[in-house]
Amino acid sequence: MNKRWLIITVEWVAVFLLLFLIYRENIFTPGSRTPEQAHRLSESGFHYGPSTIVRKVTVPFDKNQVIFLGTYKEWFSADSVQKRRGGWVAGGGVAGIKIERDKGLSYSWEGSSMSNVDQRTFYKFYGYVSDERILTVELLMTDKETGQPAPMRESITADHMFLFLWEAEYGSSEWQSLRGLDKDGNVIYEQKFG
Amino acid sequence: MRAMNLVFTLLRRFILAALVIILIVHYISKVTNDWDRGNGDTIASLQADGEVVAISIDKSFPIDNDTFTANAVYVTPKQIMVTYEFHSKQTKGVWTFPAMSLKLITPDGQELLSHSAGSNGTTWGSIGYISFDVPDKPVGSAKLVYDIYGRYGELEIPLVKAGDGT
Repeated sequence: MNKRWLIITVEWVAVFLLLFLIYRENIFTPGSRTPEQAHRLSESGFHYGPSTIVRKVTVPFDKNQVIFLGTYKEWFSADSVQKRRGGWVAGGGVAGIKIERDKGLSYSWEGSSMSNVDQRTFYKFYGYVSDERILTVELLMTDKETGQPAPMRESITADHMFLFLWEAEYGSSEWQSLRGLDKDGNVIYEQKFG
Repeated sequence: MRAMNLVFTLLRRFILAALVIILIVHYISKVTNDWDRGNGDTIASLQADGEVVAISIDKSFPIDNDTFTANAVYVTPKQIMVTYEFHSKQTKGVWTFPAMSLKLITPDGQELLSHSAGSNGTTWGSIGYISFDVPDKPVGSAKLVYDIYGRYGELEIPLVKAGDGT
């Protein structure tokens, strides 16, 4: 009888040992539990940061995607993390972009396809404003099909950063310019596209 | 009672077997993933340039908690290729080592341009190569520098005959 209990005990211990190994090898849990953890791991895995998070933004049209706006020394970034199979994993944009102080406004953008089926593209346009006079940043775009203007606009607050998020058919809008305006609406900074 | 015991024993052994199978499959895929992850093909293709001089380096510098190791340098009349290994302690959220961030600088200050790089991910990090142009004037060595986002690492690369046209 004693021998039987010994075997049962050993077998249960083995089960827990194997479960621990499976946990440690991340077989079923490839991601992190929180978006913050995934963001931190993505940065340290890229040898950047740790950045100071100035804003955490959940993408309005995709709840499984979170963006961290942040700065680190002379760089700024908008790091995306995504929820996959229940865990948070790194998306794009972990790398810092240099803040060009003499220009007053530094920006970067990326477009990524949202599905393999159609041409829907997710756009992330972000930047850092170092010129104190710039209180509003606007991205002027036109819908190619209708010819209607479709601008994006954001007021600059204490965190100096702006973020435009939208989804569209790839190449469906024409970008005119990125402008930085002062309190009276005068153009302080302008970058023309196309 | 006896029947119950039998059911429990079967259940326990079934769980054990299932876990063992999951782990075995995982470890096998891990090991096979690391096979053929060398720079062998790239090194062989250097023969097309002409004479290849291979010099072992085996020097490292740390980047945060990780380690960059330059394995060897291959000098041909057309290029200087450095092979490397990158060992990462982190297991989640790891990015491929950005080899294009590496600079090769000669003692007289010329920064050699890089046109190609390649890497393969492994279970412990990545393994790869990066090619640079040959210098204008022949040099006996050059400095390989990693300098980005406040991290800095450098090591000396011996270069025999690089750029002297022989």
